[in-house]
Order: sequence, then structure tokens, then C-alpha cells
Amino acid sequence: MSGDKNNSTDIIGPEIREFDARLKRLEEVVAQLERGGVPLEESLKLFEEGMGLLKKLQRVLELVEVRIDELVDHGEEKLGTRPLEISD
Amino acid sequence: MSTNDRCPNGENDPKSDSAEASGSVFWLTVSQLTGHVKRCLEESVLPTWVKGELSNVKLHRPSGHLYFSLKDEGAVLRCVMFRRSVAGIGFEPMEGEDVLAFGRVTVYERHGQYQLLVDDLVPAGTKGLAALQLERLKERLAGEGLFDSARKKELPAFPAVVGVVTSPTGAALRDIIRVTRRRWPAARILLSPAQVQGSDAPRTLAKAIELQNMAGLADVLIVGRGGGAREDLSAFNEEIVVRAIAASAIPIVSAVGHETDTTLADLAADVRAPTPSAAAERAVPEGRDLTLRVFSLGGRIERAMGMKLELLGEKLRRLQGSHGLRGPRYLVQEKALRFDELGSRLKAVMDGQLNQLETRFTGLDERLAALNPMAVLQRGYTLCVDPRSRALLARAKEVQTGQLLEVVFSDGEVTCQAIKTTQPT
Repeated sequence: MSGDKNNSTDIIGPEIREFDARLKRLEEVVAQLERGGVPLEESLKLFEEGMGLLKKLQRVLELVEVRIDELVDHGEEKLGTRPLEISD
Repeated sequence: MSTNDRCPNGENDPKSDSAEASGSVFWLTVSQLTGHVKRCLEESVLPTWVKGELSNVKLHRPSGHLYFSLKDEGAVLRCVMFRRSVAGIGFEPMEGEDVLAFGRVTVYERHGQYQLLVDDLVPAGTKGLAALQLERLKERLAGEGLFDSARKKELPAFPAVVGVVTSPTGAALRDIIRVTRRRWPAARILLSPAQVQGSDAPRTLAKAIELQNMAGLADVLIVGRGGGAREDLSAFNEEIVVRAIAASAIPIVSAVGHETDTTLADLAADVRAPTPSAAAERAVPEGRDLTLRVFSLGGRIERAMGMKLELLGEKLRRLQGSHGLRGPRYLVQEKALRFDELGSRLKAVMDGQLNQLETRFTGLDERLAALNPMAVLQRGYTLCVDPRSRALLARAKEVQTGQLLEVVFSDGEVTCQAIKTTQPT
């Protein structure tokens, strides 16, 4: 894609698409820890995993600026994007 | 016979595949040529409305079929309408009357004639003709399964890119941006500009939907326009737009901006929303709910781990108590070292997280302090040891009725006698 330069959303896009799976995994991890009966060693691993997941989920939720682009047709099946100016 | 007779471009000469040859002379049978003409006509002329003047109107009594011709200055078209369709027309067809007929072209091979097989017949001046035509289109597309609920796609729960097909200057786009900003600001909005009214609207709308699918960046697509008069919605009833929506691999939320009229675009969309704002609300999740959910999970994981630590402290206290009271220190050293290692690893993990997650994990230091067995005693827990061996009594079953016990508090010990032991089963 031409015109698609570096941008937070290009990096964060995959993070958002993982959001669902990560949220579900975090819920599992927490439930497992809460259930008890897990050896300490394993608890620590779960805890570390859970905290890692929390951090990643948090990163998506902390984004505050919607990026707005426009799809541009260059013809011959070539497409690009460019930032869109919107007057409020 | 060929199975790929291609009409109506004339690229395909029926001679080439179905002719018989005698020397250098080629010919077709009458049936072969007529069959070819039939296929050409029936495949290439789509069902349509035809306007003309009625003539030779004849109701065939036994069958109930209606035969007539439509004519204008230049041509005549033979028509037949079967009884079931005739029953649906609400007027008496009169010679010389101007009418509109809807039907498809068929070829009657036996008579070497082509004709219009008519489904619907209305006087040319009929009011609500547009509505009738819309109804026809709807029936046809429904017949193709374009509106089937089985082919509706599910919307993604957390879209990264929200594609929008609408006018770049309309209120619809601004409403969608506003709602997305408020609810799910992680998303990127990708506009594919189109005209939403006027003669170019259907083509540009269909093209924009196709482009979004070609680009393949959007997780969900909002197609629509702001509210308006009924006539303004006509582009969203055009076949080309409806087909583009039905063909989209990206799930589509329609937002035609009208509460009362459902357009064919709405029927073909995976989800219908009454307004662009409502469409955005369907397309993106509520970030605040998610933040709360994730925050609460953070609290729960902290509490769960905290409880583990308390149990651990308890265990250590028991260990140190028993061995310490018993004698050789080295017996516990290995365990103590192991515990230290786990403790520092835990502390490292927690410290790291603390910095990033700030207030969520306040109170952890106290929990870590609780790992010190003395601190546990200070919080009111007690140890129970055998007064002679000084061994820790960790289970009720280790205690006999009448036995003397030494209960260790943080500030001293109390000698007791066991009156009764009970063990839950």
C-alpha cells in the first residue's frame, strides 16, 4: 500500500485484533489463580502471564486519538491511503 | 451441442459446433438454430419493464391465460400472461390503452416466435409505480437469496479498522467519527468516499464498497448517509448497490438514516442500523466498559496472588517454627533459600508491574511483609506446638484428647489442654 507510512495504528492494529483472545485468556488465568490448589511455581507463571496480558490490553485502551484516513484509488487495482482532514 | 454458446456478442458462430457437414457445405437444422436463438435471447435479455400500447387483447377462456401485443410507432411485441399473474392485475386491459408490463423474453420454438412472458401489468399512468418496481426488484433479489439471514456475517467484537462508505462532507461521517472517538478511540477510520444522492450515487457507492474489499484493511464496514427525504434514499435501493453489499467479504452495517423506510441495502447488510451514530455504536465496543472489565481483572489477579502469598507465609512460619524449635538450623536452610528466591522473583515481577500499573497494586508491600512469620503472629495468628518435643502441631489429628498444648502468640506462650478434637470429613 503506498502512502501507508508508519503510524501507531499500523502497529496497534494487530494488538487490537488480539484483544479478544487476550481478554479471554486473562479471564482464564484469573479464574485459575482464584480457584486455588495451584502450586506456587505455577501460580507465579500464571501471575506473570496475567500481568503481561493486562499490560497489552491496557495499551489498547489507553489510545485516545482516532486516526482518520481516506482510501485512494490510483487505478489499475492500486490503492493507497492518506490522512483525511475533517472540519468539525 | 455446445454448452458455452456466448451471446449476445456474436463471438460464437453456431455453425462451428453444431453444424453438420457435407463436403464443404455447412448447415444447421431448424431446431438447432432456433434453440441457439432461444438461449441467446433468454440469457441476455434480463427481466424488465416495457411500455407500449395494448392491442389484440384476448383472454383464452379454457386456460385463463391472457394474450396481447404491445406496440409503439416502430415495433410490436407479442405477450403472454399466465392465469396466476392475470389474477393479480387490478384493472380490465382495454385495446389502445398505454400500459407497462414486467416480464422476461422467451422463445416459443414451435411457432418460431419470441414473446414477453408477463408477470405484472399496470396502466402507464399508475401512481406508486416506483414502489411497485421496487417491490419487483426486492422479490427478484430475495429469490436469489441476497437477503437470507443464513448469509449474514457476524461483526468483529474489537475492530482495528472501521471502513466507512459515505459522503466525505456529510453529517454521517462526522457522526461516525464522534461516536468512535468516544467509545473506541484505538480504532482507525478508513473512509472510502462516495456520492449518496444523485445519478452517480449508485455507481460510486458500489465502487467504494468494492474498493474497501480490494484494500482488505477494514474489519467492519459502515455504509450509509444521514437522514433525509425518501427520494434521497433511492441510491440505496439500486440493484448495483445491493449486490455490492451482498458480495462484500467485510461485514457491513447499513446506516441509511431513516427510521421508517427499510431500503434494499438495509436488507442486504449484515446489520441494519437506523442512523450513522447507531451504526458506529454497533460497529465498535464501549471502551469504558472494557477498561472497567480489565481493571477489575487486575484487581482480582492481585487479590488471588495476595492470598497465595498469605498461605505461603503461613507455610513458612510453620516450617521455621517446627524446625527452629526442634534443632539444627540447616534443615530449613534449603527451603528458606528456595523461598527467598521465589520471593525476590515475585518482588521483581511485582515491582516492574507496579511502576506501570500504578495504583492498582497498592498494598503489595504489606503483603510481602506478611511473608515474615513474625508479622503473621503480630496479626493475631498463633502457632501450636507439643510442649515436650516442641514440634509444630499442624493438624488436628496430631492432637490427642487430654493432651497438653503450647500455644505461641507474638508476645508469649500459653499452655492448654485439649478437651475435644474434631476433624471435618
